[in-house]
Amino acid sequence: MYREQLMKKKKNKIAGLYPMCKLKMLGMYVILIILANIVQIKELPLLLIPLSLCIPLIFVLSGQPKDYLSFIKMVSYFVCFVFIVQALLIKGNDPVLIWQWKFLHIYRGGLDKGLTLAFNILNFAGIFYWLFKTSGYQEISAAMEQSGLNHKAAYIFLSTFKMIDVMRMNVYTIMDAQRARGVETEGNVFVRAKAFIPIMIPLVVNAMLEVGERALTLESKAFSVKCEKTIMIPATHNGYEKIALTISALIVLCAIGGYVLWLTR
Amino acid sequence: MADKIIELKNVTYTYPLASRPALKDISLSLEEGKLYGIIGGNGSGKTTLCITICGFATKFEKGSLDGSVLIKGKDVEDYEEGEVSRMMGYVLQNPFSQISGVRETVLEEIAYGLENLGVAPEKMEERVINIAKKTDIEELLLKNPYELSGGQQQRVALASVLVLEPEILIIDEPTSQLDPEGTESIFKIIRTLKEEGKTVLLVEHKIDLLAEYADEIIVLENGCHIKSGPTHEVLIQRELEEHGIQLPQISVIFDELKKRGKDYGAIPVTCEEALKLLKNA
Ligand SMILES: Nc1ncnc2c1ncn2[C@@H]1O[C@H](COP(=O)(O)OP(=O)(O)OP(=O)(O)O)[C@@H](O)[C@H]1O
Ligand SMILES: [Mg+2]
Repeated sequence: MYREQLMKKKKNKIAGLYPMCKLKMLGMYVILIILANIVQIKELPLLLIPLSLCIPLIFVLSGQPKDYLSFIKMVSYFVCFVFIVQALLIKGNDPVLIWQWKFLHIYRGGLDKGLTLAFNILNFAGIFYWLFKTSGYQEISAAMEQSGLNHKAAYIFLSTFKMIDVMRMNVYTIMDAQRARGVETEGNVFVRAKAFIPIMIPLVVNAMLEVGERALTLESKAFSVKCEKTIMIPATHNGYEKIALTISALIVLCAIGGYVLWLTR
Repeated sequence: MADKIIELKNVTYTYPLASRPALKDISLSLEEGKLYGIIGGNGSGKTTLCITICGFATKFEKGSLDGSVLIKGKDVEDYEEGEVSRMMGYVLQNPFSQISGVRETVLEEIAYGLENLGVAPEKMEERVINIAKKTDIEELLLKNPYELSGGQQQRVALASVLVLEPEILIIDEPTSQLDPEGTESIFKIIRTLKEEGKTVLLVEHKIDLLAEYADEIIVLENGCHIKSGPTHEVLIQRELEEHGIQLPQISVIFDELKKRGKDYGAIPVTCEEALKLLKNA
């Protein structure tokens, strides 16, 4: 009864697709990103901009628009920073001035670099975030194991991702402990930077000790017993995989067609 | 005589980088189907003894081992990979470390060992629920193992090993974070394990409970094996108090009475025995 509950499929047909199918769709999206990088309009990879707008669309179609918002919140600072730094600092070989205000100059070379980096980050990170938000690490690792991935490799894949979560929880515990010892963790950038080391050292040491004990744990859970392994909550298909792949493939084919037309124009 | 299931012959074990051995020349032979209580102060080598018997001390800790550890007459190191963990279940002292770290619910966490043994998925749930009922964690099954209290984690850790139904169980302080009621219930589970014919090695500080449940007691001090024998014989030896071992209150009281001339014929180690003696007197 618990098992049925945990195996219940997501209502949304896209979010509920088999993880391997999503992985293939992700691969096709990467083809689109590559094409958008190659096609230059006014010597700029402008197509990356509309492509990055497909990410929120995909999230909405998957019924998880909120996850897109949290994604944007996470990356927007970084992306803006990268874009501004690249655009303002790089001149390029034969500088073509595009925009100027007082001492700020933007040259085409810089704009090119800035756009390329910023929107590639948005596109790549966005599509991976979509995969992990709609499937979850555990489901993905189960699907990979079902497709023949080695049991140990699946464990390493999964525990690496999970470790990040656990470390995030540990950071708070360690921060509390260090605060109690008088380390200041709140305040301006410099105060926080000073707190970095007393937080990182116990975090890393803890993680390393835990890896040691983890070996005993796994052994006590029969990890190294040589036999066919099973999965209690396997990843399942929801039946829309063929349609989804066909539609994705058609989109990619159209894009390639468009690219060929653009080449021979 | 019962079969010797575990034998240690002159075992000395030194952790890597340590200057002195954590276990010194220990020889023991343990019989099948008995419950052994291991006692000793902090740092006396109880945990080290457990991991040495499992073969983890050389396999994972990579310390140096002299002497030999035999499981069913065969050296632990001669077993093939995984064979020992099929036979022996080990519950770690720190329940947080017993979490596999790759499963999101207690249900799947307990089932993880079954997955590793290749049990059919349809059969897992029943086994997990049975164990969860026994260890009183049924209402936690859908929770994240990392979001449990220390005592709850301790029960989950025990359940995740019990579910594999190993012949030999090595349990390191399973009740250190449990309330008295929880402790009593864990001891009851351990007793049923013994009734099922399993061999149990139990590290525990709660001496009154060991007096009631254990068949034999092994006493360690500073890595040395200073005493062992049937519970009744060991837990009445007052000289153990000099080694920092606490004896059951009841046996101390009867011993004091005896010294003052009030001899009841024997020294009891549990309240029940004491009551019987008093009735017959
Ligand atoms: N990984 C290690 N490396 C080096 N020395 C260790 C290691 N683990 C334990 N020791 C040492 O070995 C000795 C025995 O430790 P052990 O953990 O077996 O004690 P214990 O009886 O289980 O204690 P406790 O009651 O605190 O659990 C101690 O002196 C300890 O310092
Ligand atoms: Mg210990």
